Amino acid sequence: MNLTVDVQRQFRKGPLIEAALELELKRFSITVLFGPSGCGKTTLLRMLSGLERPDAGFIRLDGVPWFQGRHDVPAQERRVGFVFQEGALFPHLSVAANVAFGLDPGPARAERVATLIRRVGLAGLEHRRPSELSGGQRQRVALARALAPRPRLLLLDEPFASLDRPAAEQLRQELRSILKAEGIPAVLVTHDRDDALSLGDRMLRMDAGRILQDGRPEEVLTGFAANLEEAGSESVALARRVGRKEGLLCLEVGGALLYAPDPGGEFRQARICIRSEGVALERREGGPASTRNHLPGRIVDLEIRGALARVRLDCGFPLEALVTTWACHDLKLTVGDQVTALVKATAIRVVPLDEDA
Amino acid sequence: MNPVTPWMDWSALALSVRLALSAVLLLLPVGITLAWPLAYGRFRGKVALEAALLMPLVLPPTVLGFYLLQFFGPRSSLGRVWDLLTDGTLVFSFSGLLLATLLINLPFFLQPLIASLGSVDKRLLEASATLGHGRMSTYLRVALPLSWRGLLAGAILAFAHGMGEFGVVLMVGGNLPGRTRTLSIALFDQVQAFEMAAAHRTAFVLLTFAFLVLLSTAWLRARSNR
Repeated sequence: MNLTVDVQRQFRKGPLIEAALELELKRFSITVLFGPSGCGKTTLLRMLSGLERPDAGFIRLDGVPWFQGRHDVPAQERRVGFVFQEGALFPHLSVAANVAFGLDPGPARAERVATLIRRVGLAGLEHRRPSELSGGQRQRVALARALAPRPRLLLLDEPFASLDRPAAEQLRQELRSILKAEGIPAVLVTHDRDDALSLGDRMLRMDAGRILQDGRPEEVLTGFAANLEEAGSESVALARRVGRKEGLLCLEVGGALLYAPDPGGEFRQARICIRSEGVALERREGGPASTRNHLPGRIVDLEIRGALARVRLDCGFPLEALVTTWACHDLKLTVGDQVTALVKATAIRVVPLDEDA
Repeated sequence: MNPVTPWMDWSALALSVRLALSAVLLLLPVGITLAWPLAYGRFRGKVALEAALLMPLVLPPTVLGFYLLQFFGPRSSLGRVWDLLTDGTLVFSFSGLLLATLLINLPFFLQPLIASLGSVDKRLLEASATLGHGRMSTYLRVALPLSWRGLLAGAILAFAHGMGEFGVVLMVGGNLPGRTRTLSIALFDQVQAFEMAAAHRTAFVLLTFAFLVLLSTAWLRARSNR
């Protein structure tokens, strides 16, 4: 099953939203729709679900139009689940009745409701009203409710945005396994890098109404900062856990070994984020230094803007360094040169991953 | 009038209660059906329909009564159909009175209900749609249950107004003791006959009733704003 989307929508005070994408719905995967607020992520999600009508374009499922011209399959016939930012639970119904809302009456209904309530960790709360639940519990009910009718696709609109940090963290850790157990492909809207890093199989970066990048999260997030001066530009790569040494985690990345602070927990794979300003360069491997990680690499690109230079390296994985233009001239750096990248362990952040990501 | 005036015109009181109660029971299905397109619909002529349904709020009751009399009369098509079906007339009968009460009370019933429906969080209606429910099902299972206070307020207001209506009732129903003489018409009669003690009692019953009704709707509104 393939969902092909090419839509336009213009709001009076917003950007022109112009998005084209294709989603594979046959098997479980999480696509993260990432971008700043107001860039059109939620509108795109609403158009997919049928809650919002595009001005032009089309949405097709295996070639059969959901939207095209005047033809518009209403939301209730698309079988697309939607988890709203603040849950949007029916306040007059119990937890169980909320979860059962999208299910046809019958003997299978009670069992399905019980399964889902257990799966999202709310067993025992079936008879509570939404007003008697915490924010995190409410969002779990919303998730169970949307999953209950076994939608073809599940859309999640910033599901953690309204939660406090511990509740958001807890749900984020469980979300992937819940969705995987149900085998339902999902699109998750977020403006949080960590959501994208820990949950996404695929990432669409959106800005000002357009999809600018489409790839794996580590590809999209590497060196994504919009301008050179902006702090927070990162290199992101997939890493395998090798072991521990002196309290640090040892990871294998593209053939190179890296030491990084241990975020704790059991995992075999992780995404690592290396802050560009935490990477220094030297011509040859020198003597002992306080930096733990010395990675040989080749310069593949050099971008000088004012006092700062962005140097892109191939160290077996793409790595980016933000250095001063002065240092760049001092070391006589040019594209193709072999250098050593010195990466402070503290400039590395490790985001643990599920087995299959 | 009897030489000994009864303490209260009990048959008028009973008729008023019966009339108002029947009108509310009929208003429930009619009003709930009409409130849906008015609260959520987008169609041509919606504003005109709203204005027409709200007319009884501003129109002098006698004007409304006059037109209803024309419309219900034995020479009107509705009157003739009624005559054929029931072998009776609509005017000067309880049925005619009931129909008139229903029409004039429609805005009292609809206004709070539509306001309540309008304040239901739109995302709840959208959530219902993404869970496979069509508009009708969403209305009955989400919007209406969440608007129960507006529904109750509308029913109470319509009931109270039905209890006290004078002009339309007099025009359409006349003043037939036990059949169309309601409490407010009995009060008019009592004043005409200088039975001031009886008039005081009748007026006091209507006054107390009106106050209790407003008190209960105000309480409902305060609860829903909380």
